[in-house]
Amino acid sequence: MIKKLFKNKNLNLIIGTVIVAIMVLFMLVGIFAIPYESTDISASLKFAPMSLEHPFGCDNFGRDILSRVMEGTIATFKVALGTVIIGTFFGIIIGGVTGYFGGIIDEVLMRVIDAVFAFPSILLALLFISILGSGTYQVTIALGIAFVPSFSRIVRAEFLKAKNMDYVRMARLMGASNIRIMFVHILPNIYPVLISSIMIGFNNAVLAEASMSYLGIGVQPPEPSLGRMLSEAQTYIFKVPNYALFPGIAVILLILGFSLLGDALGEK
Amino acid sequence: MNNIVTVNNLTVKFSNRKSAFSKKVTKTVLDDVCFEVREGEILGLVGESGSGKSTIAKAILKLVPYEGEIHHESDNPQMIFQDPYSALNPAKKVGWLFEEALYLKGEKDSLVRKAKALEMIQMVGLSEEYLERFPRELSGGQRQRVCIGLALMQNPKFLIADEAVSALDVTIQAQILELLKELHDKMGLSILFISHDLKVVYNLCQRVMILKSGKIVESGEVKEVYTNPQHEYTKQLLSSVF
Repeated sequence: MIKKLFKNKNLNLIIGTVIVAIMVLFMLVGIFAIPYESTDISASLKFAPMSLEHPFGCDNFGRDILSRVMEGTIATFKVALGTVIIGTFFGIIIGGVTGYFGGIIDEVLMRVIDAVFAFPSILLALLFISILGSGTYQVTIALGIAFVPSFSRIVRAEFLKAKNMDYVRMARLMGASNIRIMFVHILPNIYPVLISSIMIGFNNAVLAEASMSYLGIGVQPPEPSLGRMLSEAQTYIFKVPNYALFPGIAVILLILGFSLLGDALGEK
Repeated sequence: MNNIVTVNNLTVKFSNRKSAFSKKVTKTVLDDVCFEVREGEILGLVGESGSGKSTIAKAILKLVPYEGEIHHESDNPQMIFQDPYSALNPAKKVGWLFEEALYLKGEKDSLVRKAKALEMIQMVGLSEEYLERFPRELSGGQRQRVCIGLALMQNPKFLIADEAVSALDVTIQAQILELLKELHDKMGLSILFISHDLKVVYNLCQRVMILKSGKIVESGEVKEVYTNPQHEYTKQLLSSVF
């Protein structure tokens, strides 16, 4: 199947894969061979310019920006991944149950989802953070919950469409249980839709994490995150533009790569 | 001859509210229908659109709520649907679908399942390679063959074919009907054949029932009904075809 995808010379797919591969490589280097400790402070290196020792330069505490971008990308990626996993998991369960069974469960759950959906997801995440407290895990959970409504709506719509198809009736006649029909018979049919919405969700999660950290409630200092770095760099944007530039590029590449890949996989 | 399905006083009503505050509107789709399907026969069910043909099928398979009595001799009745495009799961290969039918029947040995799937695909006149294909890679006639094979996979005694050939063009229709006849003879199936096409019913069925607005207006041996129709509606139907 993968071979077939590449044969079509799908440009989105090729570019997306290359960018994602670069970002994954970048993060792997960050995990296994990070050049400097990302929290090491050095007064003599304050705002050191780009050089061979510090390719991206140093920040206001003399910390190596390259290392911090690496660790920040990892932190952001972790939060986004966790968010998407939580959102997709509960989205599939809630959307599947409401779409497939309908009736009172559907009415009740969907009204709850509607109420949750009425809040902008960032605002909702802020609400959860005020309950859970700030920190990486709390942000992941809060964003994950905020992402459940949109996923469950997409899944519900697909299940609604599928449950009246004859192949579902046929499976029922043959004695398949509801759970088996939902997850073995219907779910594979919604993979294309699910993959694109997961990719879109992932991108939104990257942005949301960056804005949460920008507001100072995500990843806690001194641990780096792309959003935090952008917010700190704001003060020095004219003096040291590279401080803001590289975390910004990392965010853009992360989002661009995954959205191109999502587009290509969703097309088919 | 034993009856494989006996239907007594079957009544199906659908009620619907036009809006949340208006009164329920009840529509009687089937009104006091009685018939039986004998073992090993092909029973035709003919009627115009909206006469309740498919509702009878759904009631027998317990897919709609009904009043009255439906008695089954066979434990796993199966159905062939009208539209072969929505009756096969588009995400699964033909072989998987065949094996799933056996798995659901309780066959845990995957080698046995594979062997039986191979046997069935040949029985419906397709070659082994079709097991590896997705439904979208098949033509309408091939799909309907797969649907028939799938319905027969659990070895049912009773089969409902709801407009099974109506979506196909005439030459393919003839092939599928031939296949259905052949499988009927080979496996000793009883079939309830639902159609609006009088010619097809004449060629395939031993007995026929004519349905009009939820009531059976005439039934009997095909030759008898076709040569000597009693009811006004039957006469009209026949004169429109022959």
